[in-house]
Amino acid sequence: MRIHKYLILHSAVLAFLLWTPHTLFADVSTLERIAEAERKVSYVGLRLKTFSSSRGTRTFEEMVIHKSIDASYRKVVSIVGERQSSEGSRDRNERRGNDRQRNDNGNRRDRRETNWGRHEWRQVRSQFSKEEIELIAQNYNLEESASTEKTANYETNILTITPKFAGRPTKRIFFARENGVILRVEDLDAEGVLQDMFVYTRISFNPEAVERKWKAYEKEIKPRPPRSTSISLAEAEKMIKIKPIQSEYLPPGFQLKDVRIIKSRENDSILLEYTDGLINFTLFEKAGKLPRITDRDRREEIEVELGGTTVYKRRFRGTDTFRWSGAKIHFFLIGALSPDEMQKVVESVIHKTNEK
Amino acid sequence: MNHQRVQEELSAYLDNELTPAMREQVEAHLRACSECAEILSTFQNNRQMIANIAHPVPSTLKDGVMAKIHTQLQEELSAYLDNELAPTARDRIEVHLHACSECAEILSTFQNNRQMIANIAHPVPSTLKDGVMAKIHTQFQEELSAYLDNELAPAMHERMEAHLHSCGECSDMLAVFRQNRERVKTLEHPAPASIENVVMAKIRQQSAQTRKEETPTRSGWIPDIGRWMPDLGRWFFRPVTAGATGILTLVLILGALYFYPTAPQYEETLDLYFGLYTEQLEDNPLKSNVVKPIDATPAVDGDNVITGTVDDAELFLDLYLENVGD
Repeated sequence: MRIHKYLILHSAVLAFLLWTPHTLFADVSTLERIAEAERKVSYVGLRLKTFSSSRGTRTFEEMVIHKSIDASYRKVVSIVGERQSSEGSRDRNERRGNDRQRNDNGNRRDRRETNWGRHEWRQVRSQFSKEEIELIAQNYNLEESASTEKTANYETNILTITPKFAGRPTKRIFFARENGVILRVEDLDAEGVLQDMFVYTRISFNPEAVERKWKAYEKEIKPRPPRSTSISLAEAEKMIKIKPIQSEYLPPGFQLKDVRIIKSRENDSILLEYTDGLINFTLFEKAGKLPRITDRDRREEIEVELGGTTVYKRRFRGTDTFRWSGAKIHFFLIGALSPDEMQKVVESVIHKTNEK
Repeated sequence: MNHQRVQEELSAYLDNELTPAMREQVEAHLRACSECAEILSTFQNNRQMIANIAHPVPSTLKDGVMAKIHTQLQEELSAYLDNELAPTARDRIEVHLHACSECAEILSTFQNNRQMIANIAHPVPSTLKDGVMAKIHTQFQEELSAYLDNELAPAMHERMEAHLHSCGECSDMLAVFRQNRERVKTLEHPAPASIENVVMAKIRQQSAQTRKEETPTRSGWIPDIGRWMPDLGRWFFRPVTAGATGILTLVLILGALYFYPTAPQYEETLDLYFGLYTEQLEDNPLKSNVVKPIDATPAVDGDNVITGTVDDAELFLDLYLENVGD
C-alpha cells in the first residue's frame, strides 16, 4: 500500500514536471548570467534589427564585433528596403538628397534613418550594472523557458520580463543556452504589441574568428569619446552654476540612476537619468539662452498649462518630450513613460521650482 | 759774330773742321778782336805743348775717344734726319759726315730704312680712324646720362672720367646734359590756365566724337552704361567713396554679427538630448524604449520590406561555413 502511494506520488511529480518541461526557475541570477556572458564571451556576427517608428517599420542589418565589454562595435551594413542595385550608389545619393529636402521641408521626425546605415562603426556602450539588474528583478517578473527553435544555429533559452506595474513594456530575451550570450531580443509595448526586435542571423563565438574580423576592421574603427560624463549632483552644481532640481514624484519602481554633464557651445546642461531598470526617463536642465524656437517648432508643439506654467509638449521620434522654463532654468523631459506619468513628473518639477 | 760764338768754334777752327764760310767769319773776327786772337794763341800753344810731349797718345785711347764721338753722333742721326737739331749741332754733324764715311754710311742706312718703312706702312685711312673714334665717343656719350645719375659701375665711372678729361667733345656734351636737366627742372611749373582750358576742351571734343562713333545705333531709352563707366570708375575709386564704402561694409558685418542668433535651434538641442537619451537604450539589450503603441503613420517610401544585400559577403561565407562545421 505504501509502495502504491509512493508510486502514485512519484507519478504525480513526474507528470507535473513533464507538464511544465520548458518552464525553468528564473531570478536575478539569470540576468546576471546574461550580463556575465557579455563580459566574458567574445563574438562576431550579423544581426537584423527592426524597430517601429512614426514612419513605419524600419529594418537594417548590422555587423557586430564584440571583443570585450569595453571593445564592442557595430556597423550598419545594409538597410532593408533601401535600393541596392547596380545603381545603388546613385540611389543612395538621391535618397540622401531626398532626405535633405525632406528635412528642409520641415519633416525631420525621423533623422535616425539618415544617420543609420552610413557605414560607420559605433561603439556599443552596454551597461549591465548590478543595480539595474536588481531593479529589473524588483520591478518586473522574470520567467525562463527553453526554446524549441534554434537561433543562428544555437540552442536558446527565453527570459521573459513582464511588468509588475501597469503601462510598462515587456521584454523577451533569447540567449544561447551554452554561454548566455543574447541572440534575440523582442520589445513589446504595454499592450503586448511587438515594437522593436533584433535577432542574430549569423554568430560565431570562435575567438580566432573574432580576432580575424577585428584585425580586418580595426583600422576603420574610430571610437568616439562619450558625449557626456557621469558626475555627482554636487559636482554638477559647481560646474554649471545652477542647482539641479529633481523631481519629487517618481513613478513606482523608478530611481535616479545617473547624473551627467553635457558640454555644448552655448551653455552646459545637466542630465538626470531615472530608471526602473528597463525603461528610462531623462530630465535635462539648462541655464542661459533658450534654444531658438522656430515657427515650425511651434506648429509641432502642443501648449498645456501645468502647475501654473506653460509647458510645450511635442512628439519627437516616437517619444513624448516636454519643455518649460522656470527659475532661469530651461527644462526638457524625454522618456518612455505613459503620458500621465510624464505629466506628473513635469508638475512635480514645476512645483519644486516654484518653491525655490 | 760775337765773342762767345767765336770762342766756341775756336777748337773746330784749329782742327780745320769749319765750313769755309764759317772759317772766313772766324778769321775776320780774329783779325779785329785781340782777345779772341789771344785765346786762339793759347789754344795753339797748348796743342803744341801736347804735341811736344814725348809719349804719343796710345792708339787704344784714341780709338776709345773716336768710338765715343761716333756713338754720340750716330745717336743724333735720327734727330738730324727729322730736322730736330739745333743749327750748331746740325753743322757739326754735317762736318763729321763729310769726314767720316762710317757715319755717312749709317746715315745712308737710316735714310734707306725710313724710305722702306714709308713704302711698306700704308697710312690708316681717315674714314676708319674717324669711325673708331666716333664709336668710342658714342659709347661714352650713351653712358653720360647714367654718369650724371651716378649709376655707373666704379670701373666704368673711372674710364668715363678719364675720357672726359681728354675729350672736349664729350665734356661739352656732358655740360649740355647738365644744362638740359636744369632746364627740365625749371619746367615743373603748371601750364597756364588758358592752355589747360584749350587742351581739355580739345580732349572732351575728341572723346565725345569717339563715343558717338562707337554707339551709333543705341536707342534713346536704353541707359548708356558704357558711357558712364569711366566716370563711375573715377567716382568709385575716390578716397572719400572708397572710405565710405569700407565703413558701410564694416557696419554691415558688425551688425550681422551682433544680430546673428548665436543660440542653437531648438531642434538641434532636442536632437542632442534625444541622442543622449537613446544612447543608453540603443546598445543595452536589457533596456526598452517602448511603452505604448506609436502612431501608425504609413511609411513614406513604402519599400521597407524588401531584403537588401549585405556588403560583407566574406563575413557571411565565413560564418556560414563555421556554422555548417558546427
